Amino acid sequence: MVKYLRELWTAWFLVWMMTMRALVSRSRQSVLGLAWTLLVPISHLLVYWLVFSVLVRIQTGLPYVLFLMSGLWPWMLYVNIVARGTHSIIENGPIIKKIFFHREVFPLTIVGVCLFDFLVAGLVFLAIMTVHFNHIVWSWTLLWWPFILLIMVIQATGVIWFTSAVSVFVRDSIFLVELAMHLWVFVSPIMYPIERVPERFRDLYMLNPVAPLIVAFRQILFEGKLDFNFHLILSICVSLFLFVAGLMFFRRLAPKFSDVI
Amino acid sequence: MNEKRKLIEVRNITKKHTLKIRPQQELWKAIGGPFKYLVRKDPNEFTALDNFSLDLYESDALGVIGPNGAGKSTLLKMLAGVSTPEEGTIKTFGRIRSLLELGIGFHPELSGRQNIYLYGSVLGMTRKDIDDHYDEMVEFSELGEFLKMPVKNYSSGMYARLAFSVAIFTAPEIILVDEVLAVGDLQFQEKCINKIHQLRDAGVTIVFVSHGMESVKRVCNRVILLDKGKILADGDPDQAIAEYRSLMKVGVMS
Repeated sequence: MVKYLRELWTAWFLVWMMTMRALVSRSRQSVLGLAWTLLVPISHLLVYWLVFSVLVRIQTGLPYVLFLMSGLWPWMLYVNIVARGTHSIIENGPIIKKIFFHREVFPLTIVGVCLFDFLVAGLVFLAIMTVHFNHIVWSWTLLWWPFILLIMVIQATGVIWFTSAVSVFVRDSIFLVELAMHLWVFVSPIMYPIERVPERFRDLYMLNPVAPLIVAFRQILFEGKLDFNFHLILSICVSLFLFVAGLMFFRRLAPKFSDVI
Repeated sequence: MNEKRKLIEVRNITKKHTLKIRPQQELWKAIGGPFKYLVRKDPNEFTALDNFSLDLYESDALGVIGPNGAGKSTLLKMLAGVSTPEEGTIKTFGRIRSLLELGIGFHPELSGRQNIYLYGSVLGMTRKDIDDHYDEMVEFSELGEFLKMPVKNYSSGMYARLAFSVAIFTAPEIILVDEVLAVGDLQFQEKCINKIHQLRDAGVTIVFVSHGMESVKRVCNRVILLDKGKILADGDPDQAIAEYRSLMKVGVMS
């Protein structure tokens, strides 16, 4: 166990190099380069804003763009990690067949790339935040925000330990993930406030492990508090469980990748 | 008795390949536990390596020869850790560098210099290791100013030079080589073989798979002849190569 952790530690340099490799290749082979990282969140934002603020008026008690972005920004990180991470092993087939190093590097590289995108997309959020400066409660509670984000990244990584490993054997998991990601956004409180969910369904609704995290982000930003209720704690536990169990599962399947890929 | 350090110990490994991969079955097999009862017997299975054992000590240079499909690459892959045997154990004691394919992980858009760091990290070096050996790598590759160019503009020979130079200066203890010396011009090939000799004298173990009998003779002090996953000959290079030649003739005649 100690040996494994030490090996993973030395693999950090490799994760770093692979992340750089992915980022450079993307920016050199496209015309707009880095601008894409901004265009995607902006276009999502525009469409959601048009639908939910102009066509269907949702009352959030906040400027809708601010409300939306506070959930959409971390959610897009989550979606990106899960969607792209699922492909990470298959994509690197040629390397996996030829050279041995810890296969964990590939999903972790995706996490690195997505975190970079997330930071760039943060510029949009920053701009919106500056405009609606007075809606945010500036308190020490804001320090919990990175913690919730960390939980979210851990959960997403936990998911891709499973999906990336299984997809090597049966490609179904790729389609399943794509479908799930399209539907998941509707059963998470991204575009609408949690109050819109009927009271009697809310306990059930909050079992979605993403929902309590999104709620927590908004609580921290707009109410200046963080309520460690049952659902949030459950979500944190689920995230940690997914990560550890997923890693064990991944390591069990990893030696077989090169024979099947 | 033998005071040399043992670097590779392979005990009774068996590896089966299948002609037709059955994804679900492979998944059940990989997960194991109760799922292994879901695995049905595969009619298309054949044995790539059959009850194979091998010991290698420092300064050994083993040549592996044999017809296509004899299990040579399967053996190298398992020594490299890329693949795992169904039965038996493989123990390696030392840093392995597999040159199964040079330049895997190179990125065409990055410069030669950047690719040295990328490839070095893929081969398991830390940034410090690469920093320490960087000058040697550059000198050995003889690429000079070309290192500033993206490698997509390299000729295949330059590509191989860069990759080999990185791989060879990664302080290896065991090197696995698969036909990679065929690239590069004669002068560079010569340089590589000399470097391999030098490493061998310094105690590095080499496993060399090749169809080029000349280079096998030059590099190796022990040769095994594989056919259908079994060892047909083991020992003196000349003898093994002669046996391989006669085996091939019989194969053609019948």
